[in-house]
Formats: sequence, structure tokens, C-alpha cells
Amino acid sequence: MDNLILKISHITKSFVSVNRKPDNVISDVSFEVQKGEFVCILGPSGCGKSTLLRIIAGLIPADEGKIIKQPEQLEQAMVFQNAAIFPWLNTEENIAFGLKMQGASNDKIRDTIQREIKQMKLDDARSLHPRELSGGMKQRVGIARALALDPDLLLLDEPFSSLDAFTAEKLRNDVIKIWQIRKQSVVMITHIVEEAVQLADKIVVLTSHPGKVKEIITVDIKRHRNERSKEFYDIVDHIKSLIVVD
Amino acid sequence: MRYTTQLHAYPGKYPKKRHALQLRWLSTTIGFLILGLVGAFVIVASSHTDVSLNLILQGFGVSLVRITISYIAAVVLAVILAIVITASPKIEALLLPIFDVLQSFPSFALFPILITALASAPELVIIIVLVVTIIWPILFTIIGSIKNRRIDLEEAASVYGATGLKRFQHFTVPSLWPSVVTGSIVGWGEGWEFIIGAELLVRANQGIGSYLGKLGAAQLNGALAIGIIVLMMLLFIINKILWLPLLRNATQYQSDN
Repeated sequence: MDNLILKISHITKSFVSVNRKPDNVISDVSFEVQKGEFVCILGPSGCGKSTLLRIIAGLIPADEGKIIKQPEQLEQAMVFQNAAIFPWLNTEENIAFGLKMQGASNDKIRDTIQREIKQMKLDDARSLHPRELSGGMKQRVGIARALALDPDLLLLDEPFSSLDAFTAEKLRNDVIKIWQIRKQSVVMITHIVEEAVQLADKIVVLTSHPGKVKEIITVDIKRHRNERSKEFYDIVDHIKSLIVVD
Repeated sequence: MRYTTQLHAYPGKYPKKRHALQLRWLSTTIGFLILGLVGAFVIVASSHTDVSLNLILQGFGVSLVRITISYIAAVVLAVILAIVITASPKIEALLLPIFDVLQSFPSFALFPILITALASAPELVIIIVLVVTIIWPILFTIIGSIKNRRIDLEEAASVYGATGLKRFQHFTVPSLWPSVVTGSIVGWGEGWEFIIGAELLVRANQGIGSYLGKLGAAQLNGALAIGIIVLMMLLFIINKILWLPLLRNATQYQSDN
């Protein structure tokens, strides 16, 4: 229990559909995240993955269930699917946004910008605005903005899905390296099975509409995972069989 | 082959930017050259007519103050109204049709009521009519921009702790800025169109409209023509030094996806 950072307990959420009937998108979802753990939430489109992440982030309320965070005021940050960096701010200003909102000192903001620019390889893009950046660079800025808060819990909403395969792989490797150094707890949404097996310690597989927990899989393959190994494929095949059966 | 996400993957970007800058300088130079020629013509022509350049500039100054006051009031009102109207679907469903009808109401139709009610305050009559004229394009472009806003940016602002006054300053204002500028350009133009008529109707002592009206009434057609040319020149200068730079600045604030 000491290592617990996030407990999702029986979360249910419905939206009112066009014909004014309640549309149940998530039903009775429960799982836990330990300190330093990388958890992927995996499921087909429309299973309520992003809704669940937004409930965890506190952007929308759950209809039923509880979210317990330890400590209650834990620092959390979120990376969005399309980066969602502010078009009117340059790279440095975007990275500093969260700290500025917290009222951090100028020295702290300056040091943090330096650290994240270096870590996310954004040196050439310091003073550029989002419209001058490629998709991959925008996502790097989005990740740097999240890491700048040094969060206890990092929420990633399909951060690589809008990128080309090469950029996505490079960024994925960078995220893994950073996570191994900083050991923050991560909850990531994805619909790509191989990506989840590559990154996660634990995979929460959701059923399609409404999203319910089908199975929670612990990935105990050693890091620097070989995507062509038998053990990797065994887990991928098992998850795919779960989704196909569903 | 090595794939990179570095910025120098876009070699054409900076030369293009420089080219655009050169074009802008060229167009500015040509614009001011034409302006200089027209200015020289006006000075020469004015010595052969009854027009007074001093009175034109004075009248223009008074009208400019009236329009500026009305514009500031219109922007503040438009931002508040747009935020209130779009605050919830229910309020929007109630208020938007009302404002949609109100915007088609001709501002000049307000004159008989306002002149009677505010007989002792003709300045106020002009300013009220101008506010009612300028506000609509600003209000509706802001409403449009709020309705088409990117939800992920809103969520990012919330996740990163933008609340209250900080949210207004660091998120709401910059995200509305492009629509305020585009709406303002239209509203400002309509304001100048209206102020000429408004000053004539109220019989204001000062203002470019009342001065041109006096020249017209005295059938000093040459002087009237020069007055109109000077007015166009001054509006061109304001456009060049105020609105065009603001428009260029506003494009930086626009979302790219």
C-alpha cells in the first residue's frame, strides 16, 4: 500500500447521446498504479480510454466510483494526442507554462527550461512557435512541458499516434530512457498492442463499448525489450486474442 | 539512411521568410511613395480652393477620438457578451437569436430616439450609435472563435493550472486575440463609415463629418473632394501602421491544427 500512487475504483461514466439517452462509455473500471510503474490502458476505439484518462486528470467527473491519489495533492501532468501546445507561445514559453501558473520563481523557470530543452533535444527550437515545428517536435515540446513540472504521475493520451512510424519510434525510445532515469509513474493510453507491450509494466485491457476491464496483464520481460522475441510475441498474441474474442 | 526530426529538415523555410519580408518592404515603400505624391497634390490643390488643411486635421482628430472611445467600449462589451453568451448551451440558445436579430437593426434608426432622449449630450448620441455599429463584427467573430475553439488547448490550460485571472490573462485573451483583431478591422471600418453620417445628423460642431458636410452644403465641390482625399489618406496611414501589423501579429496566435 505504501507504494500505491493511484487507485481507480469502480469508475463508471455515461454521456447523454444525441437521442438524449444515457450512453455508458466506461463501466466499473478498477486498477492500481504503483510508484514508478508504467501502466498502459489498451483497448479498441470507442472503449472510453481517453474518457478514463480525463477522469483521472480531473478534467471530467466520474458518475460513480472513486479515484484515490497518494498523496492527495500529487503533482500530475498530461501529454495530449496532438501535443496541445499553445500556438501563441514559443517552445521555451510553452515549457514554462505550468511553472508560471504555479507562480515559480524566474530562476527555477529558467533552470527547468534549460534541463527540459536539453533532455528533449529541443535546442534548435527554443524560440520557434508551434506552427514552425514538425509533428514530432511539437510532441517533444508537449512532453517537455509535462516533465517541467517534475510530476509524480504522468498521463499520456496516445502521444505517438499522430506521428509517422519513424518519429514515433524515436520518441518512444526517448520517453522510455527518460522514464528509466526519473522513474515517474506513468499512465498511457494506446490502441497499439506492440507499443503497450514495449513500454508497460502492466497493461489494462479494456473491452469495447462500454469499456470494462477485460484483463490486467503484467509484462515481466526485462527492459530493452526485443520486439522479435518469443516472449514478446506471446504477450502480443494473448492480448490480441482478448480483443478479438471481445 | 538516417531519419531525423531536427529542424534543419526544412531548408526552404527561412529564405521564404526573407522573401516575404522583402516584398513587405517593397509594398510599404510604394504605398508611402503614392501617399507622398497624393499629399503633394493636396497641398498644391488646397491653395487654389477654400479648403483648410488645419480644419480637416482638427476635424479628423476629433472624429478619431470619438471612434477610439467607441471602439474600446465596443471591444470590452463584445468580449464580455461573447463569454456570457457561450457560457452554456442554454444561455446561447436563448441569447444568440436575440443578438442575431439585433445586429440586423439599422443603427441610424436609433437617432430619433437618442436625439430626443439625450438632446443635451450630442457627443453621447454619436458614441452610443458608434458602439452599436462597431460591436457586431467583433462580437460575432469572437463567438465564432469560442465555438470553434480547440478543446485540447482548453484541457491543457486546465491541467497545467490556469485558473481565474491567470487563465484569463494567459489563455483566454491570447486565444481570442486573432478574432478580436479581425473583428476590429471590420468594426473600425464600419465606424468610419458611420461617423460621417452621425456627425451630420447630430449637427456636431466639430468632426470630419461635420466639416465635410459644411463644405458640401456650401457647394465647395473642389474643397470637398480634397477633404475626402485627405480623409482616405489618413485612414490608409492608420491601417498601415496599426491594423496591418496587428493582423500579422494575430496570425502568430492562431492555431495550426
